[in-house]
Amino acid sequence: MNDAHLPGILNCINEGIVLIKRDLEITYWNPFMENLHGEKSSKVLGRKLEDVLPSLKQPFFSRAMEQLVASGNPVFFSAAMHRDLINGQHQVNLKMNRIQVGDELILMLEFIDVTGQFKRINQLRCYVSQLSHLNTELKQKEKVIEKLAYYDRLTGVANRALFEKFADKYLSLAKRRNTMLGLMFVDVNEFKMINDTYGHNTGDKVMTRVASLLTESTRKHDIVCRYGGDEFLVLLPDIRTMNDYYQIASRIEANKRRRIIQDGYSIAVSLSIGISFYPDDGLTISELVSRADEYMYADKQNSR
Amino acid sequence: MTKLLIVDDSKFSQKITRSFLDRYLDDVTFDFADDGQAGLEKFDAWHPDYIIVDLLMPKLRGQDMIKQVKLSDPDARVIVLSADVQHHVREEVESLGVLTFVNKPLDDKKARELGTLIGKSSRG
Amino acid sequence: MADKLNSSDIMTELFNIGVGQAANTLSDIIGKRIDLSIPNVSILNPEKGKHVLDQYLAQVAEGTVMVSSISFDQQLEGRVSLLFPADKMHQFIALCLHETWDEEAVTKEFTDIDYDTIREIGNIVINSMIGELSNAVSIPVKYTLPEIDVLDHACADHFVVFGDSQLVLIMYLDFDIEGTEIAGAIVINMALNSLEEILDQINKLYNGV
Repeated sequence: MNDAHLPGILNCINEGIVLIKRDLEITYWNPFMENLHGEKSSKVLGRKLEDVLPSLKQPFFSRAMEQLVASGNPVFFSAAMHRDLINGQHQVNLKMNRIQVGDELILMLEFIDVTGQFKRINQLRCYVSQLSHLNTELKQKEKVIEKLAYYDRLTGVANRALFEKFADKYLSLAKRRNTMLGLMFVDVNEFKMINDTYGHNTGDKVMTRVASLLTESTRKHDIVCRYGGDEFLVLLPDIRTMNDYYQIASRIEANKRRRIIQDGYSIAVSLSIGISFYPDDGLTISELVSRADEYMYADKQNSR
Repeated sequence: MTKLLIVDDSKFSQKITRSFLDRYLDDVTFDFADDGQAGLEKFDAWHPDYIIVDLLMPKLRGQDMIKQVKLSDPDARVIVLSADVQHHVREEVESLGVLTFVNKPLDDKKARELGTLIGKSSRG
Repeated sequence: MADKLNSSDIMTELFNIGVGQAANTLSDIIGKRIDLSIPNVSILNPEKGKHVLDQYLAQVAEGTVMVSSISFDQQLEGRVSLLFPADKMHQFIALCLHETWDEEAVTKEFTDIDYDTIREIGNIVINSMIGELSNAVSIPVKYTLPEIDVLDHACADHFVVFGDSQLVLIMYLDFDIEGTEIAGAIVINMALNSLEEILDQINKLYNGV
């Protein structure tokens, strides 16, 4: 093949090809480069490279070209580190090579369009950020669902489902560690009357106050659960001596009969309490619950 | 007699600097230090007329050594010879009041300029 | 020829200059200050070189490295590999590109754009180092653009050819860009006679040195 074909070949290449002399005068500018840059070959031939492509004025480009002229080793500039090298529409990688033609040295600059890659990666990043956004939303929803599944909607304390989960766990722990597990049955006396007298709305708030009162009187790992309309269960794990229990009981006892101010009414609230212990009062949760229920009932009778 | 202290962690570089400067300076005596700390000690003990100092060195960096030197003698004549030629490094060092900043590697042309600089200011 | 200690001192100084220039160029391009540690070149026989390199790969890179490498093969023969621990590269690339780096986001995969960024950095570092060496000894060295690769479970055999006539030069390269440290390594696998030629040439050029 004869060299005369070379310009024809360069014309077909899907890369911007620019040839320059050592003094940086442009001698060739292929059609692809015309598309990338927007300027026709006839307008740029004979002009200096940095007049046509001003971003190549930066000192590291001139240093690289001097080195290339001296050593002949190729140089590479990435589109990512050199944004908008030609213009804002195209992101290009730039490769520079030295070519010896007879006695003359020419530099070949290849501008490789990678705009498509940038678009794809931006798309990918967009998806990833959407995904991570969705993920956060899902996690929040999961929390809400968990809250709905395990907590009483009115009072915010545990519901029966959560109680059962913890009851089994604490019971087996007590068996393993040889400790006592306390189970307290709490009933709000005359709750129906409170509802009838002050309205359901106020009654609901009273129930919430009782739940908070129980939560505040117990320890961190104790579980307060709303068991039914006006009934609460409290699990007291890891009781080693009766003294541990008395400490909690005395705090609840102090609040057993009191008047609370709610919605402008002064309401008398009293609690009936029964407590059973593993292992003395039963070996299963249902045994413990029914025993505590009995004691609670006795307490209610006494207080009348 | 001009006393010249070369502070450089490379023995090879010390020798090149010496042999280049020898070509362009008469009546000069050299001493060497391998790091900033040793350079500081030699400076205090020997009172050189010029210090040629590298930047990237163990124990005490060139920048820090120059600061200390300038504290004890604000008129100390310091020439920096370094491969770290980032412009903010250069600015930082020049703000310390050095005579000049020479990029490594030293070559004949740079050595001649240094020779002229040292010759002139030692006569003046 | 100079003795062992001397030759390592000479190579350290030559590469030191190259690394300084590379940092300068990179700092100009990204507009950020780069702090360098003192590089130290060890010249080792292949066996020792393999051992030292495997240690680096296990400790610093935990097996996965991003490699830029070039070969040269005229008057001087050898292969230069620039190694960076892959796990730090996303952060490094983000710093170079002035992007915020989000540990959680995006995949651990490298994109073509990341590869091109590393190709440029590899080109800068290798150009400066080999260019400086080539200038200092007045021996022209010819090479191409670096090839980029990400290697899982990399071991020394990837970078070192074993043979009696081979040497391994290892240099640790610590960059610090705005508080992010990148502990890279440069491994040069070189024919023994190439190193001898370099040292001979230095003796000739700096006669009496």
